[in-house]
Amino acid sequence: MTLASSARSVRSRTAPGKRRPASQAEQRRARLALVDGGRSATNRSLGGRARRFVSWAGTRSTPLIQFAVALVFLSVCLLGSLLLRTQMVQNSFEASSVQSSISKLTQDVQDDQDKLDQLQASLPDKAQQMGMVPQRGTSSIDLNGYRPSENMQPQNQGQAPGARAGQH
Amino acid sequence: MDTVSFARRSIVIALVLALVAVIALGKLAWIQLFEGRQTAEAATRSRTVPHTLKAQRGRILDANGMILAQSVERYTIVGSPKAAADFIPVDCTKQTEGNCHAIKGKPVGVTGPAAVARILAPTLGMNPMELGAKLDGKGSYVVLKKDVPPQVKRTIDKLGLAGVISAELSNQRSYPHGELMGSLLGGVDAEGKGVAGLESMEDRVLTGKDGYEVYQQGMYGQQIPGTESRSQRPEDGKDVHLTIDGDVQWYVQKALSDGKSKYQAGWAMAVVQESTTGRIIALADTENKAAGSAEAKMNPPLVVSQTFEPGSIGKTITLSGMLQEGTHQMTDKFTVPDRIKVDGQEYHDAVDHAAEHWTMAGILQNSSNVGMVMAGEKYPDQKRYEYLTKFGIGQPSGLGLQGESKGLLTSPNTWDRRTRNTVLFGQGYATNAIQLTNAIATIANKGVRNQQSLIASVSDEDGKSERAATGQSTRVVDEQVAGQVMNGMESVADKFKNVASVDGYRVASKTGTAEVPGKDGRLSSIISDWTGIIPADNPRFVITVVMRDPQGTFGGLTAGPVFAQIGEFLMQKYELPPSSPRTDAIPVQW
Repeated sequence: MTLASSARSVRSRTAPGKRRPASQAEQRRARLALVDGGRSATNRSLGGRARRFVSWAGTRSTPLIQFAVALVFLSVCLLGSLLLRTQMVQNSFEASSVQSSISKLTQDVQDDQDKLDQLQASLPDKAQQMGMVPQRGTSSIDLNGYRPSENMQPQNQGQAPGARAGQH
Repeated sequence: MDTVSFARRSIVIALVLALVAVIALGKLAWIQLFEGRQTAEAATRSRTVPHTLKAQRGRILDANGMILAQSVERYTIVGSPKAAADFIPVDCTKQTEGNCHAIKGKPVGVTGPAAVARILAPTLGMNPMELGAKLDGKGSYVVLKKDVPPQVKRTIDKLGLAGVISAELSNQRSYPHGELMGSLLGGVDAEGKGVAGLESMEDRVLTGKDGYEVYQQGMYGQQIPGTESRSQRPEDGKDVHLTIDGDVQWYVQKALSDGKSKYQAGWAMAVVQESTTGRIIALADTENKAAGSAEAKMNPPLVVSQTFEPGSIGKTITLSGMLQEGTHQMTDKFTVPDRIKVDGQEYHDAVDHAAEHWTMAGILQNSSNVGMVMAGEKYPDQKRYEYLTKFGIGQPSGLGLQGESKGLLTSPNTWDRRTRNTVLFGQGYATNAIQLTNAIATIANKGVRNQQSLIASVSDEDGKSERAATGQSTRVVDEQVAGQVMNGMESVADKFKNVASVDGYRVASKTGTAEVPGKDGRLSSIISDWTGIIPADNPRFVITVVMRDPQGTFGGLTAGPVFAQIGEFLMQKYELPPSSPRTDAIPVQW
């Protein structure tokens, strides 16, 4: 915000020097219209400000500033690149370590699952060794033609409608 | 003079040294400026190695999703005898703490392979002497132990033996259920390729596609993070879901073992098939070989490899053919003696009896060989062969199991005067238990023969499932004919209701007994079999039980009770409603 506002003030200082001949008022107004455009919402954006900053740095009156800005920019880029590279390597190590942990955990899960399967498979034999036997014989109740007795009906009336409906 | 001479010599030496320095600098500059890139690239190339990412073999699961076979990651521990020879253990002091070697808190005491062996042996569970002998050599690669669990490998990593001992990732095939379906599952070879049973049959589906990773590695082969340049994810093999129900399989295997002991049989085997779909629910025998073992890989399951004459069960096929061709009706009346002579050949029934007034249903119920020969008088040889073939006798089952025998059925023009009549009552041709089960399932399925199946579906690692292709179904006999044969088979089951019935459920069945060559090469061995449809009023399952040399001889008295035991379990397990009473029995006598 500060950088943008100073850029505008410098431009406003340089503009009057070029506007001295009063007879060219109309042309100057046309140029001013361009500056007005710079005040629009588009020029207030980051891209617009950057363009204005570059054009300001390119003026002949500010070579030292241009040099300083370039130096700072290069230093920042260098440091940023170093930082990013360090961070990348660090992340890479972390990713590698996480990947290794995932592999270990996957192996452990596989192993535990295998043990569980083996234990489950041994269940029937173990049950038999304990003297348990599979169920034998079937017992079924044929409800075909069944009618509830009279004294059961009052109890049934207390049931939910859905329960009684299910009997039919 | 001496001073001048010394100065000259010094200058000369200085010049020589300067020249050497200039040459060295020049070379350095040359390398840095002109060869630097190539040298760096060569170094990177030597560090950059492609690594295979092994795809995992798919699992085999039963119809309930129970895992029957799966692969687990294991390690092969490899030693370098060359590096072991130079190994000097580091004694544990305050300075070397955490990076030293000790055995139970005491110094190792020796150097070289013996030291490595002493440190490593307890972790690997091996004899130090044996391990030391393996490491005492000149090579740089010797396999110390295979299929080491990851936990053990991690312990080895902490022993401080890097450079001497390394580990290679491998896969081990695990069969949690051991002997359950051992021969049927088969096994894999050392490379993980299916070589027997279902592992071989479904190898293409189970095998995944290996991937790779290209990265720069450190001195010990470890990946340098951030150097991965190319990679391809491995595609794991697909899971194969079987139609076999592990619970039923376990119970059938148990019932067979009990039956084998009870009747002192040589072996016993059984097949359970869903009659409407052709799905095999259980394939069991009493051989009990652990899956993945050499025995399981060498011996296919008895149900596919063992062929036998079906004996009287074959009468159901003859009867179906005769009814379909209109040669006879189920109610046709016969006066059946216990022996008959045709074309100079005498045929007799299993038991002596007076001349009986039996219908066709009665001939089937009493399993009369004589009655079948009498009924077959106007049933041409070609039709006899045609219907046996249509029911799948002598034909491949289509399951694709390794070691399957398609049985033996010769063409009618090779039949002699006796064989042409023995085929009417299940002798003179051979079948396996799977073929026989499907023949009876055809009758249960209203005359339509389904393609049998063992594979229900195949699913990939994302859970996308694909149903296995089902084969074609063929109508063999009319629905009405199949119904009449079923009716006759129910009368057979009624006759054996005291030994092989399932309370609450109607059963349609047929027994069989046949003489087969024994170990002496003569017909001294007996095959007793029983095949049944349950429930008979609404067929759901076909069960075949076959026993060799049981005490009790007749199939109805030995294989029958085992059938009933399996049938009872199936009715409970699948919660099938009890049968309604039988009201339409075809008369068996007149």
